[in-house]
Amino acid sequence: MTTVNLENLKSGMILASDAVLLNGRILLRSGAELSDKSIKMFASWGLTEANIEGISETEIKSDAMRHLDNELLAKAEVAVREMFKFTNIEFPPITELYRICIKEHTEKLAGVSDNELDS
Amino acid sequence: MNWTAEKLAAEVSSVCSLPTIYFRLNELVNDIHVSNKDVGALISEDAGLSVRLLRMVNSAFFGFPSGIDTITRAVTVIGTRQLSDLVLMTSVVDMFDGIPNEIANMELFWRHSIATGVSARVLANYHREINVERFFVAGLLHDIGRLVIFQKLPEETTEILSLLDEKEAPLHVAEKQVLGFDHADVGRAMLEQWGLPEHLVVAVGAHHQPSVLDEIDVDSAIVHVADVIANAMGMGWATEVHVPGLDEAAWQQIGLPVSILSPAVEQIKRQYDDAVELIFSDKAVASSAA
Repeated sequence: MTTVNLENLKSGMILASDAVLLNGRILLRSGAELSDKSIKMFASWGLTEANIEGISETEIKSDAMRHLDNELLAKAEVAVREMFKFTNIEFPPITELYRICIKEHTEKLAGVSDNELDS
Repeated sequence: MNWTAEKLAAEVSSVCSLPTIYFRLNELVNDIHVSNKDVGALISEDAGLSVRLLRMVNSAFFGFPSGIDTITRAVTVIGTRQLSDLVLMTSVVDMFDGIPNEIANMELFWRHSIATGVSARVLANYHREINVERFFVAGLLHDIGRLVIFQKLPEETTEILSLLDEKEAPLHVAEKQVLGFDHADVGRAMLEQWGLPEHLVVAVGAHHQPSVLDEIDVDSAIVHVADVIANAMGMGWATEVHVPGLDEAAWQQIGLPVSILSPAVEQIKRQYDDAVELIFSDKAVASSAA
């Protein structure tokens, strides 16, 4: 079971636990198969993550980074590592910010706007 | 002269003060016998302020229902407490404007302050806070002590910046090394001398390490995390500036899942552009009226 961010959820994935909002409300039960419709519903209710069956964290990460150029990625990583040198990179929220920052840097280097990526 | 954070803050807070209307408004807001109409009447006394407030509440950034055309209506729709935070915001804009650009790159300073305010506002929203503008103002003010140090201690500032260039330490550590206190101490002293609400004073003073407090309050925790996010996204400063350490106890205190960071950053990026536009145009309105 792996916690997957909303942006990386895909239809066909299986919920490993109930999808619950911060206020305790259950949107979808454990074992349900995700559809595009349910992912849209998650987004509109402000759900930010879900636990998914049978998928590894590295699969998710490499999938999310797939469209990024390796050379630019390496360049961005050097710059971002310097920026983060006073932080505890092992602490989960910092690990996540570090990941987001590398993604943003790489996109900036590639000169690709968010809009182009979405389409 | 041997400076302390308090002495330094006193130098500035004696010459540059908050407008009396802010304090009068706060008195009204805290009095349960006062009606919205009374609050509206007080604000309307100051025509310049009323114009700025109406521009703000109708801006894309705040996203209030459109067509708020009178102060009385603004009080009803937005609420007195949030409105008093907006009044404080206009005062902060005026205050920062008094500092010449040679002393600090004011545009970058502004942008970082705005980014931190926006981040704090978005986090507060995820935390289900009712008055999110309170967090926006706290974020806007969090680095105000830096301006005081820049302005009053130029020689020491050069020394601090050269320490930074050697990349030995984060800014506040370099300040402590040179001065014996940092910009958060100066900020706290200043807001205290101005008589601003306790939650603001504490959040600004503790923004590098909220866990030094006996009990971490939500305001301090959120402003701290917001500062880290604003720096990590390189909003305001050049990219070689370092991300400050994240206080683990402060993150835990907010109690949000790590997975909110990605959507939160998207929201922050969108709101940031709106907020920059709002504040820079408010500066223009304020200086043309003056």
